[in-house]
Amino acid sequence: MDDAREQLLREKGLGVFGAITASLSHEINNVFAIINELSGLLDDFFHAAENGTQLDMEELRGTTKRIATQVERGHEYVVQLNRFAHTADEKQTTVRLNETVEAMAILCRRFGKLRQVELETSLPATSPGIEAGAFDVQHLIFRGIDIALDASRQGDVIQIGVESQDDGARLIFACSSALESPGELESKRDFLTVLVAAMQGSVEAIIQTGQPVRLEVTLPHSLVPLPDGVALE
Amino acid sequence: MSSSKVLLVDDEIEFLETLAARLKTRGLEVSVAQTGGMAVEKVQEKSFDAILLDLAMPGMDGIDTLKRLRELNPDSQVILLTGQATVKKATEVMRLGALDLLEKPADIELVVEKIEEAATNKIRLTEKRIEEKISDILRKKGW
Repeated sequence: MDDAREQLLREKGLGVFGAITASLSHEINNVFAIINELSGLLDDFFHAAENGTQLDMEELRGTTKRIATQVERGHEYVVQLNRFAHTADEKQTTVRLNETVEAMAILCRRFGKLRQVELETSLPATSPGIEAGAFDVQHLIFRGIDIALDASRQGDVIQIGVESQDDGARLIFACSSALESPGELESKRDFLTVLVAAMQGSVEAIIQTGQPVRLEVTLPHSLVPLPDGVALE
Repeated sequence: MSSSKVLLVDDEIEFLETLAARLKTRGLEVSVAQTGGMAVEKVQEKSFDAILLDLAMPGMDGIDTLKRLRELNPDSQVILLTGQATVKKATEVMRLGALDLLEKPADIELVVEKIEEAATNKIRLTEKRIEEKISDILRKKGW
């Protein structure tokens, strides 16, 4: 791969890291803000009790449970962030596409939420696997979702699908409503093509005004489908 | 400041309801809205002394909501809340007429202090409008 293309892929990859970590850190901070208010509420109850108001035990218990729920929520975000960060560790590994697509759909959920667009996954019963860098696969899924989000309107649903093929696997990103204007989509598709070509795959894209945007990314070298429940090394 | 009217706008229900409860125990009259659109509807129904507005919201975000609120009433006292207060964000929201930008998690005493400031500003602006109106009438009457 030439230096310029490698540099581009590296910079764009860094952009994905930045976008995902910024998004998750925002969500984690929201959790802290809620815990701050709930603990402040407990403080208010105790302050009121010191001034003679009877403590409502049900309300106290309810508030501590709400704090526990937020701690669980925050922990889940941290787990997702940690998992995502560690994908950069392995240059070449067996990537289970079902799990990777699910993980990216969860990580990108907030981007969809801000645009009021839902992300749904459509996965085969058995997860196809490919030999690739884990982060490279996540990067291409992110780019596919990014294009689909740009093509979507408020209330739309983006379907992210995985299909097994004889000599590889296919990822599909499908928007639910017709495209109003291509805007920057074509240049984003061009970058996705470069990214997928670096993984020896190919991209077919429908990006036309009046038609729902659809991307099909074909990746080679799938393994024999992995049984569910088998953990990645 | 026993009856200042505050509108809280945030898409995080748990945050919204908890902060509302805490402000109510401090003697404030609190209304809530989960979206920018709902906030715009509420200000058209009722007058508020202060509006606490989240910056990052789905659909109509904090910036668009601030612009719309200020269009409806240029004297609106809007305090933005954000997970990350940067100089750039602060400059932008102040340029659009916000009273201040607070970072979450926010100290409740600081929030109340800002609401007091907003209520005082609102009284001052209302008095100024009344004075201008009176001057205008006197001028027209030639008195």
